[in-house]
Amino acid sequence: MSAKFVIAFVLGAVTATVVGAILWHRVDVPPDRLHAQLLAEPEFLADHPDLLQGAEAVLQTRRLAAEGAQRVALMRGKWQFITHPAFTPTVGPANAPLTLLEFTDYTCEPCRRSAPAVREMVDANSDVRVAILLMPTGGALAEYAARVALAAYRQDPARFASLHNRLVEPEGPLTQEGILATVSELQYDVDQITREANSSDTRRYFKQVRMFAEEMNIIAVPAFVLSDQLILGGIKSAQLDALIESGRSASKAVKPTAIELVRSAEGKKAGEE
Amino acid sequence: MNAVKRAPILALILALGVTSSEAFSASQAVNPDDYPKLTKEELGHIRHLVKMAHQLPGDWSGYGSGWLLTERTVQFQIAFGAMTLALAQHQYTPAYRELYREAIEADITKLQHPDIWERWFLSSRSGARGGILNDIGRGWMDPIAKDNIMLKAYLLQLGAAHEMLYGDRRYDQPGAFTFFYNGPGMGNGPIKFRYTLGDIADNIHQEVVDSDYVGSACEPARIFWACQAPSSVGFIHYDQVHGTHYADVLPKMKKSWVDKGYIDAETYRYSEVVFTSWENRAAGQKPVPLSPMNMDIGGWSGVYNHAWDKKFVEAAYFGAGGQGRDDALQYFLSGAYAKAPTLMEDPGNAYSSVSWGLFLAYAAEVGDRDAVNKMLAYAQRNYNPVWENGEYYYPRNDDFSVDGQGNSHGVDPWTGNVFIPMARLNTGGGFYRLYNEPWGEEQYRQPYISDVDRLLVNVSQAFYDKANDALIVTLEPGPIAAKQIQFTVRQLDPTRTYTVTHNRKIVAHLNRKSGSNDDDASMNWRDDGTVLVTTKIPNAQTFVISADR
Repeated sequence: MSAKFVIAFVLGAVTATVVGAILWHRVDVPPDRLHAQLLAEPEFLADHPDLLQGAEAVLQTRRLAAEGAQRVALMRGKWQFITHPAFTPTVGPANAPLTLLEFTDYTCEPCRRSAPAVREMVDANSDVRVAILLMPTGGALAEYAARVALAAYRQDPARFASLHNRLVEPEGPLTQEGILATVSELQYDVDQITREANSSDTRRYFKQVRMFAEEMNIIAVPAFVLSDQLILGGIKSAQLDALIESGRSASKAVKPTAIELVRSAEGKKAGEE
Repeated sequence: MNAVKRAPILALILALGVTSSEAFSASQAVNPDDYPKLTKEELGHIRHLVKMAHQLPGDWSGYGSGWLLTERTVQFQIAFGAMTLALAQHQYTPAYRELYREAIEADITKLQHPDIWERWFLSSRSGARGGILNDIGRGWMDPIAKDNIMLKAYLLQLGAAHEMLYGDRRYDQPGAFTFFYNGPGMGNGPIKFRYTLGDIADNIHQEVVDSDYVGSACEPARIFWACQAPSSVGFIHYDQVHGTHYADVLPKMKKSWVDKGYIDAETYRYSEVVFTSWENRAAGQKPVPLSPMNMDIGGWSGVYNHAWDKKFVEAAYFGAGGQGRDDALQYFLSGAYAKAPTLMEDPGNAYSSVSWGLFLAYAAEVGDRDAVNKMLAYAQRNYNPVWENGEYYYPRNDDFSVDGQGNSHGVDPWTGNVFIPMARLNTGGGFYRLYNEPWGEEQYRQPYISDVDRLLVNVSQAFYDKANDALIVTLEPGPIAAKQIQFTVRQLDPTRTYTVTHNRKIVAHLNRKSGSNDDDASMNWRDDGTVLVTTKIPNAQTFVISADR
């Protein structure tokens, strides 16, 4: 046997050993074998609490991600329901492609100051409707005005815009008598409105609006939401125009549905496994 | 008709007469004036506290104080406001719960708002610590894990009071108290601190034990006697509901303070705060000089500790020789309180109004109506109370100047929103009764009213008298006028007949087969076993529904 052959053999064996060792460490243990091993030897986990802590952190992250995905899905579902013209007072064309949410209170001063900008925007933009989410925060009179407005909308949506404009920008201080006088002047059935305003259905509606607002982190009125943009506080025409424009651009982009968002979150979870 | 035939008829008439007069007697025996009833002002105070409880998360309008000491101004107002509602619930309208329950729940939620609890992070980092530090410490975010009794005591107190009043164990559920911290900056993930009411009770109890029964610290290494009071009484309610013995530490705490000289049981003077070692709350304890227990923050502990240490707390209120109370009253009615030196964090002297309010609340709890009436008269004269949408309160005023007659107009919101209403509602021993006359299954099963539209109605009286098996309810017009309102009566016995009086006139005998109707009100038994009441409400309407014997 020649020296060259021996050297080549030894070198080859060493190389094979080194490569084999490298490959050995790079081959993952199949999950089911790992699972079986840990089941058989739980002391290993007990002796390595850092592994348990790591697992807990992963679990919490997944839980939060799942909660987040669920929340998005819930919000999208609630959004469609709570902004529907059949449920919530609306000004502007009911079938307009863009919906601006306005959280408002008839006794709130910044809400009043924002009213002209909103009115002008509705008049100028036929592709936008405004869902008026009445959220009385200013005490008994605020709540009463909101209830009457909701009842009036349900009696006759067509006349609601006139009533809304007169409530949000009244000529003098808002009073119960003044509100009822306005309703009467607009030729609503006042008795029916009074019954509806005092009904448990109406009270339930406001609870739902309030819950929706809190879930969306709306902490004050007025608040304006369009697509994924939120403006808290009073608004002027230029700001509102910019908001509408960005809403138009966003509506042209393809957006995942709620179901897709949830599936995406689940898919990530499966991938981690 | 001969006498033989007449006799049974006469007997029947006589029997009917006796029966109805018995029923008549039963219902007439119940005089609504004999039962607790809220006055117009008290209803206004309650409406204001309820409104504030339901303000949007993060809307602190009406709460703000000139006393700028980190977390103190708002969270204490929330907690004491909730306990004022709990007192009103327990003493005045036990048979009408939804208004108070929802507001107390909203207040408990408010205490978990980041604006409230995140301030702990700064407090936990301390300050110069007597000149030994050049920079603040590392601190910690978890608002329950260690110290911070000034938040967790109120969570325990309010949560346990809620459990006792409503038999509802929601605060025993995992994560019932959740503090969600979303760290700023890229890559920082959210952290949740999750606790149950039991976790909080256990945590505080352990800290009391570990401190050699001195107490749980507020800011690190500072133990205030006042701040133990809400958790002390929180233990009482928690034990009543759960059968635990956390409150066993209360006499041990008192003994520890007395034995160590932190409370002088002869002179009724005490150390407001005991400093401890930074590392170990049982070590390095140094009390501040003693001061009267009825002044400054003395009422803070007195109001609640009266529930478990009645004799001592009353004696401390009057002070050694009984002169302490007179001195304190003079101090507050002469305007001297508003001339007290200001604190660094309180340039406007808002704390002087807080100390005024604390003494008033203390006076009310121990039953000193003379002092309460004098101080309320001072408030009416000087503190400019307002009516607004059916709410009655004393708005904030930062002008603490004193005129020649001793009048000062300054009002801190804690006093104007909470302490004055609390004193008006507490006719004496109100918290003593709240903690010593707990509700249980018996009360939860008694008749009550619900589905009241609070915009249209104030419920000034709702009381079930077990001895007479009678429900007494008075409704007053609310801030919005209505011709007619409705409410529901629940948990009447559907197998029985009830005599109904409306505004002191018997109007009907109500049972499942027959309703009740008069010119102004009707009652109808529904299929679900509840009774729907519809009534006009031009003024107060009183109903007594008493079971026929």
